[in-house]
Amino acid sequence: MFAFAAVLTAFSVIVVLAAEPAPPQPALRRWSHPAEESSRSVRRWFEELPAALQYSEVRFKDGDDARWAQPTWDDADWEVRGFWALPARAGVQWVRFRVRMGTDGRMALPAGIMISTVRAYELYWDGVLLGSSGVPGTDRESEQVGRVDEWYSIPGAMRGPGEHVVAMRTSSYRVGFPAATSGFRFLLDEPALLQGKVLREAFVPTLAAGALCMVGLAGLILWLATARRPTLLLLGGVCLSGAVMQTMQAFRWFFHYPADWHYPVLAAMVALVGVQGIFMVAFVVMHFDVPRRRWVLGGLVPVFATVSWLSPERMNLEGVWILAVGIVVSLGCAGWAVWRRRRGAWPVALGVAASAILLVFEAEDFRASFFLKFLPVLIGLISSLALQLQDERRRAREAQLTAARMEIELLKKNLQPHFLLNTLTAVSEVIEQDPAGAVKFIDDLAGELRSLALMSGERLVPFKRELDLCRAHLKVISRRTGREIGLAVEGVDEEALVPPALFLTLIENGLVHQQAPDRVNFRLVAQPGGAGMRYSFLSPGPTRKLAGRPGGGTGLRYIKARLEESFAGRWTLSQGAVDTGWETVISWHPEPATGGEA
Amino acid sequence: MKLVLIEDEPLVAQRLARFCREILAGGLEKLHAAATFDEAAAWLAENPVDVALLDLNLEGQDGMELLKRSVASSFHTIIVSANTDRALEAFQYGVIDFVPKPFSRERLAAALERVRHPGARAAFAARNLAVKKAGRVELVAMDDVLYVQGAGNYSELVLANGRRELHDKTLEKLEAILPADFERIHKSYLVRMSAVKALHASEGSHYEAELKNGVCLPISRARYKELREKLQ
Repeated sequence: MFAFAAVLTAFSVIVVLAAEPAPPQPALRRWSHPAEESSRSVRRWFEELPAALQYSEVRFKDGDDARWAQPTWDDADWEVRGFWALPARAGVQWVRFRVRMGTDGRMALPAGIMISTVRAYELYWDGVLLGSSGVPGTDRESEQVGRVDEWYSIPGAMRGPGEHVVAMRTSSYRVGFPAATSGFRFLLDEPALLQGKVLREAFVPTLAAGALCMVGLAGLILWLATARRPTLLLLGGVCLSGAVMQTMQAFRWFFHYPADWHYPVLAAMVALVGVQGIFMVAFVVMHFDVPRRRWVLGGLVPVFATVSWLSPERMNLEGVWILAVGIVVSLGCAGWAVWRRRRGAWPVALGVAASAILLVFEAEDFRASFFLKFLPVLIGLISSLALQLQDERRRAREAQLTAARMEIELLKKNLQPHFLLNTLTAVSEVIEQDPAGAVKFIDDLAGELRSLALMSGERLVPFKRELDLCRAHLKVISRRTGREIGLAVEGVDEEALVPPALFLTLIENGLVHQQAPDRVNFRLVAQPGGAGMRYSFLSPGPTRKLAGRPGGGTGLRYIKARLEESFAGRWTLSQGAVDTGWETVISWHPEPATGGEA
Repeated sequence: MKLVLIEDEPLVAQRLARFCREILAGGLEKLHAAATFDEAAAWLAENPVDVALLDLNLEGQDGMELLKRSVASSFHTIIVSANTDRALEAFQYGVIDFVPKPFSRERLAAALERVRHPGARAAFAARNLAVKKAGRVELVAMDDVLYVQGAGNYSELVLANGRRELHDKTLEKLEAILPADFERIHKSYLVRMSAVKALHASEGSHYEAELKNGVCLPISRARYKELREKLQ
């Protein structure tokens, strides 16, 4: 019996010994500086960590066991996974990796840890719980969210030379991100340096938010104060949406918001980039009057949506691609404007192109340096707007000057010394020979001057007044020359508007250039023509040989300038010899046919 | 005095004619009124006159062309015009006077007096002389003229480069519009005094002016002493 028991025991021992798995071989650690393993978009965070710092590979295990926190726990059979390849919404998981300073691990480690993640976790350092962010759980209800960024410090006694084991117990039911995996950014450095990094990260977005906000508000105020120019509103929109987006970017670093805010915040930022892209394209399209603007703008929304949908994994890149699409469309429109020689097209084209180049070279580090990338576009848009405003001011000034010059021309027409002196010479003869006739003569002259005075400063006068002026002038001329020169009018609406002294100028030209008989009539015939009226004016008699009919004397220049002033681009003038004299045909239509600004 | 007046406004023509008759009274031999220069030219071809009263609109090219044609003629030209701003220019072409419109009888009398009075000169001397050449009118710069030689009803302008140009005006009429530097040294010669190198008196009361280019011109005995004083 005893012997049986002894045999059984021995057997049992053998069986147990046989059943006991062979002690695992120590896992082969792969050591590297964390910057080597990180993706481009976050590499800047790791590049400045101590040069001697080394992380081992990351090992992952599904399930939950408190012993897994222990540094002595053998994780050789755990799955090797990257920091960012942890399955989302898949129960409690453990992650283990090791850190050391120098290849021999003889240096002490820095005292600070900064972890950025949307996951809930507990952090163990050599088996000691350093802290936690939220509470990991096995479902959405049992999990509690932590903060997206957290800082921990390692007590001095725990960070001496050698390898240290970091273990994290984690779950991710509240990450919000639709992607199938999520992960950690784990930084190990002196606490002050980690804080400095955060400040630096916050600096550009803070600056950008302030700057964009100011420019945007300036655009809105200018829009309200001036003539409600839509491009000012759009510029304001571009800047203010950018300012809000950058405020959200900076917000993270000043108010350490809960981890489950992160996804909505990033989604809102992507949406804001989309809004900004639409404003930017709309600005270019409106500014340069690009044809089919509704198609261009209407097409952008589905394109943006498609781009977002095609890249659901990486929040960062959605914004980049949306901005890239906006920039490509803007570049196309600006290129079109350059080709059509639109004023201010070059600054926009150059600014957009510069932004495109910056974007291509550093696509992934997008949100943090958004402002620097967008700055060339902004400068281009503002420069172009400034050029356009400058142009408009110049045109307005020129129009003012033209109007002033026209008024002077008008006064000169009959107040010109030559006309008055010649008339006075005739008057002085009549005074001596026929005092009663002289009074009538002076009355006629006064009549003409009064007609003229009534018109000074007017851009348009009723035909009745124009015809009165012409007849008054012909009366004076008839008295002076002893001829009987009249004006026959057909079909003219006396209430219709006409630039002052237009037909008076044609009469003056006729008197100078045509050799008319002593009793004669000028003829003005109005007919509907095209969208407006057509006026044909006949100066009777053959053209004087000596004088000829130059293409553009001062009289004709006055007429053309007056027509352009009131009917810009909507008038025509032609003239030539006919059997009975010299015919001038002028037509214009008073209202723009298509509602476009002339 | 024979007169032609060219004025297209009947009231002004009437006034000019009336004043001329009143001013010249018995001195007026003939007065013809025409509305245009072309109309007057046909008449002038048959009827030589002493002076033309010419109304010109000097603003345009045409006015200046007519002015040149008029001053190139044998008669004196008095411009009657409202374009007073062009008066100096008109004088430079050699008009004897410029009467601005509106004009008084006194102003017109003063103009006619310049024509009537021998030795009277224009208020401003001509700087160019218009000469007729092959049916066209050309301008000779006054600065190029060394001396003028009378040749009956016309004159010959002798230029510094040796060229000679005929002018329809008599020596007397030219004298009235030439710069003061030109002196009548002989009944047939008007000389630019600055071109004279020396005066010579030779035997037999024969006087000569030697020009800087070596040409010698006769001097009338009556003028010699006065000229010598001027030259010194």
